[in-house]
Amino acid sequence: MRSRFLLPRIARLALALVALSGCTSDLHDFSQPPESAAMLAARRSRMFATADMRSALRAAIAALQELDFIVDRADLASGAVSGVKADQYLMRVTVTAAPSGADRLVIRAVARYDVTAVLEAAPYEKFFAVLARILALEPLPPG
Amino acid sequence: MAHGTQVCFARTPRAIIEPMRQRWLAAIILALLSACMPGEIPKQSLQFAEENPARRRAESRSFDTTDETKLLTSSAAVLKELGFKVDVRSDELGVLAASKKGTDYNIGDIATAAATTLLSQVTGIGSGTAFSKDQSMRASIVTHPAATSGAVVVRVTLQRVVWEHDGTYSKSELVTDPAVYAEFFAKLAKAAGVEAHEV
Repeated sequence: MRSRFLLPRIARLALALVALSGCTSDLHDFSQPPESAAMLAARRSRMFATADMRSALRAAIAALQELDFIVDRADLASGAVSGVKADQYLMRVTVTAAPSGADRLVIRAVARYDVTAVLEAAPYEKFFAVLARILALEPLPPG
Repeated sequence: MAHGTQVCFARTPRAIIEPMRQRWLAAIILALLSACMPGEIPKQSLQFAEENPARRRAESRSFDTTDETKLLTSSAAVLKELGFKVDVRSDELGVLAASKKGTDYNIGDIATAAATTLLSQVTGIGSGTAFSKDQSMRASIVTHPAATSGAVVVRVTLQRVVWEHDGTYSKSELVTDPAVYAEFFAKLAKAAGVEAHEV
């Protein structure tokens, strides 16, 4: 009588343990994703009327610091700087600058939380607002 | 009648308790499984709040020189003296990043890991919990010309990051003690041979 109840109980426990051992806890950005790749690119980039890559990247470093990031990667040759959030190591923003024509630069920012890309618009808007203020330049309309 | 009452009295609690047990078991399993569902990026992580001015003051000093390269070289020397290894340096952009590896052991973690490993060996499920942790101190130095001519502002930030032995992130914390930064700037001023001022 006792074993009749015991066996299913062990089977249920084993099933639960197997189910739990197979589960993962990946992160996901549940914010509203942009409707297209072009919209995501627009969200993540701005064009500025300057050809001075060095000054633009220095301004990006200053903007990252102003937003409480620790800058830990910088390379003028590849036109990239990167920083992690001071109190949350998993949040990283990488900023790249690339020439667009003779007198313009496209600045792109990509934020990641661990390995998950941040899709939400607000962090990018905040970063570019601070960057525009430091550069003393308004972003140009795309295209 | 007495016999019938006795049988009824013996079976009723089991008939009530057994489904209740099953419901509790199902609820526990569901709760455990819901904990395994993919996590969302914490909302506060997506709010890029602006920095704390007091922290900025503690982490920054103005030096009486226009030579950023000299300050970066002296900073690298001070950090090496403190056991750091320079990972990134860009004189053009005024950035230097260095790190120092170490270990972070906690007796509570070790006890939990030992118990979990024993349990996993007995049941044959899982591979136990690691207790070995790696930590690194990370230093970031950024230089830029001061608003007033003839000076360079140096900002140093120290951060402690802890990883589990399998490389997964555990925690991070910012070094906020102003005395630590004051000591670093005193050494930097001495190494560079220039005077430092609070900003």
